[in-house]
Amino acid sequence: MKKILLVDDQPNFTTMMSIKLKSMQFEVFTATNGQEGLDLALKEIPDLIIMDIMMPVMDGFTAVAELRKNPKTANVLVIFLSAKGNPKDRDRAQELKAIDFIAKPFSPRELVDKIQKLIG
Amino acid sequence: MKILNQLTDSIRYALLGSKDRPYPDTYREELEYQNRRLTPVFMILGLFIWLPYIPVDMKNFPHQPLMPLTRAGLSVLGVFAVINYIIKPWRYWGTMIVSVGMSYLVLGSGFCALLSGADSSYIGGFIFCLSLFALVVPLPYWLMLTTLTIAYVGFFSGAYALGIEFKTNSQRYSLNDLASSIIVFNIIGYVQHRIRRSHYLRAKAVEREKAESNRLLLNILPAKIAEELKTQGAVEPLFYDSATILFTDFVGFTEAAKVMLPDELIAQLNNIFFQFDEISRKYRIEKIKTIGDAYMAAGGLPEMNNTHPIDVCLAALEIKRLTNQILDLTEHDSGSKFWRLRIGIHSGSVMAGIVGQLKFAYDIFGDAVNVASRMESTGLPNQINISADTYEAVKYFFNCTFRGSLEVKGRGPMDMYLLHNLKSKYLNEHDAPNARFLDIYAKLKGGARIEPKLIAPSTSNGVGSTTLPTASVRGS
Repeated sequence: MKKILLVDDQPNFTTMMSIKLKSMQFEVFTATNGQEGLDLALKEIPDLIIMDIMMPVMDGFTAVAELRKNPKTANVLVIFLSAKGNPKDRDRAQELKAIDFIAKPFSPRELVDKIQKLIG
Repeated sequence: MKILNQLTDSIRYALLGSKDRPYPDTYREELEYQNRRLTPVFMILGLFIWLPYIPVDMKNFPHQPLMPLTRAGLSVLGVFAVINYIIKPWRYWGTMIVSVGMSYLVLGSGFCALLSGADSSYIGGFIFCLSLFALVVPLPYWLMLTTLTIAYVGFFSGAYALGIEFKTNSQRYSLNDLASSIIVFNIIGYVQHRIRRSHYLRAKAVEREKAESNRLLLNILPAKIAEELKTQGAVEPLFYDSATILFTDFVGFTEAAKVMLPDELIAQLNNIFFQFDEISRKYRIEKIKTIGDAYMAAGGLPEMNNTHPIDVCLAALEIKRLTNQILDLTEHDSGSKFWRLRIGIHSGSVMAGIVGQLKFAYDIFGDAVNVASRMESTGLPNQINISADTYEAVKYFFNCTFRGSLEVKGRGPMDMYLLHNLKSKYLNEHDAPNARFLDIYAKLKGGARIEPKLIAPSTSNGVGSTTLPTASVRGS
């Protein structure tokens, strides 16, 4: 069963997405900030991480930068999800080898389709 | 090169027309548009079409020098047409070029037919030119009628004056053709004109209907959503992780409905909601719907922003101020106290999208919507009841009072606050938001998050660079 880690400080988002993704036979883990997400990622080694950028304690960029330093998670697929759609953020996401950058508001259906295509 | 490009554009314009052009306001302008499309073709025809006839005329009728001169005259007109086409000296230059050129062609061919002594092939040419004028060119009907009349009357008067006798069979045959063409061209020309005109009127009516339906669509749906619906035919529901929802409800409306005339009640409600709509527009929040006497709006969608809790609170304060004024008036006039309002606000994540196939509605869904509704229903008359989530987002800007943790249906106890007014440090002497507030607001709009360091006095340079509506926010 493929593992997906959802990291967002909005519990409604993680709840909504995990219900849908679990019904699609994915194993889903959720975290509410970058630090929590980093710890969980190093422990579970997910196949895909959906990562918000602006979060308390540790932001999404820092968390992914840390993940890239670890050989176990250096190549894990990451999709950034953020209200910030400016080019600098996109560049930073590319630097961190993110597979996609989705600007909020977003269509959950499109995100699910994207996940299905990537690891389904 | 420029002229070549212009010519290419003109040919493309003549053949394909202007894509998505709006129909002009008058039929005359529509004819002008059609004539302009034809002008490049007519200029080329005018310049060259009669030149090959000149040697034939000279050979057949060597004693009629006016004949080749008449032919050459069309080429001279063609040159003038090109000049007019380039400098466009008149408003209706397309109609001018086509009508002058075509009139000359018709009258000239009739004149040549006379000079030929009513040669049957020349009369045939004359009829051909008449048919072009009557059936092809999009000229105003009165002009067509006048030119045809002049051409026919001129030809028959000329034939009579010159003493032309239609002796041969072919001449008589051509004369019959010419006589028939008077009826045929006038009737078909008239029908053609009516068809052209009715096509324009119908197209114009369709265009008006389309504009009206677009206007209605914009009344029902947010502009961004309406545009997406028009261009893509569907709107994907979107997840907003932060929005602020406002609910209002009139206390005692049901009692009011019992004692007031229905039309009077609806008129008053309509008037109040109209003003709510204006307030929503002013603070850039989206009116979602009204349900009976309840009004629902949301900030932070369809365009996401960071200021939505503040925008909605400012709007709520203005709504409260407005309804207090209405209450004062109605109490004074009729002693009724029906227009007391409960307002509830909550911030949270929502899904937003279009619902309905036949009747579209932009609506929002999610637990946050239910909580906002509960904030209203557990609120107090003439007060703004906000949730802890909204309070956290606006506490640095507004004076609020903690109400306590109250039981909410389906949610258990929830912390609630009463929103009173903008803090005095953010108000100027006219009770409107001051430069310091506007400065912070601008930073929030630029993407800053609401946190203590943002609102610390050191961050304010006193220069407001935002377009926040200068609402007069008064305390209750």
